[in-house]
Amino acid sequence: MDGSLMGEDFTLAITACWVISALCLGAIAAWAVARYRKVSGNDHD
Amino acid sequence: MKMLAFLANPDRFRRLTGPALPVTGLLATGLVLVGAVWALGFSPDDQVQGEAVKIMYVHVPAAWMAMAAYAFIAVASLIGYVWRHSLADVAAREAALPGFVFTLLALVTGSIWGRITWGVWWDWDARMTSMLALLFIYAGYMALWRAIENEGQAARAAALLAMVGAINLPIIKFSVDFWETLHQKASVIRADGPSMPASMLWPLAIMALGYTAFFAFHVMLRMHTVILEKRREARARPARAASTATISHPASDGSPSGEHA
Repeated sequence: MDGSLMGEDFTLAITACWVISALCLGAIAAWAVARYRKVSGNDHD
Repeated sequence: MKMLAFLANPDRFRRLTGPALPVTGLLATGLVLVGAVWALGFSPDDQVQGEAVKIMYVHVPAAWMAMAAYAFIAVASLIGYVWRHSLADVAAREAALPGFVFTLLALVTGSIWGRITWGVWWDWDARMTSMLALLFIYAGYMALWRAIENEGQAARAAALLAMVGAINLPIIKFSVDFWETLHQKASVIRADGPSMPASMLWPLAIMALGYTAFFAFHVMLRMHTVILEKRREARARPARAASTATISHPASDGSPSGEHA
């Protein structure tokens, strides 16, 4: 690393990382829940 | 062994893990929310990289889970291959998608973080290259399941790939020790303990636990879904056979004819 990065603004990069993570994990969770609801709605035991 | 045989029954598995589903789902959500607020709002900046260290709280848990998920797949594959435990095969197959996503997130967030701290989006060092190899192994594993129509044969072929591919895990872990890498050495899981202060370690641990709960929730939910789908298919089979028999033999006694199924 070249010198200190203290004080520099990395809001965009940090936001991008967190938002991408939330979207990807949220998407596969939503897909899994939707598939479960679809199949469990036809199975009443 | 007895526990494995006990859980091999799909209905018993569903009954035992059903209550755990909402618990792990809520746990995952709660832990990730708490971890996010703590990491972004209350954890200190790094002395050298400043606030860029906030990326660590999504990058590191994703990387850990990428490897943990693969280890899960390798163990489940071994159980399925040796003991013909079909639920173990299902567990392995359904763990692949979250594992792939965790690996992709580790690579993407790592690339962004690297651009800030190293000045490059990518480097062919041992750590990054071996993580990229893991991504390809995940993709190949999922493709192999889909490529073979017979589920039993697909399970055995995929299990072999998963077990052989597990050699990549110690390569990834020790890559920063064996080779000179741009990627930094371990600062948490080390022989002489973490080199990170508690103010950073705690939110990192909470995020990692949240990601782990998410993985458990996803795999259990997918296993429940697969079991219900198979049950629905099994119920539909005799009904299909009966209806085609009626179409083929309108004046028959109504008994199903196997060759028409």
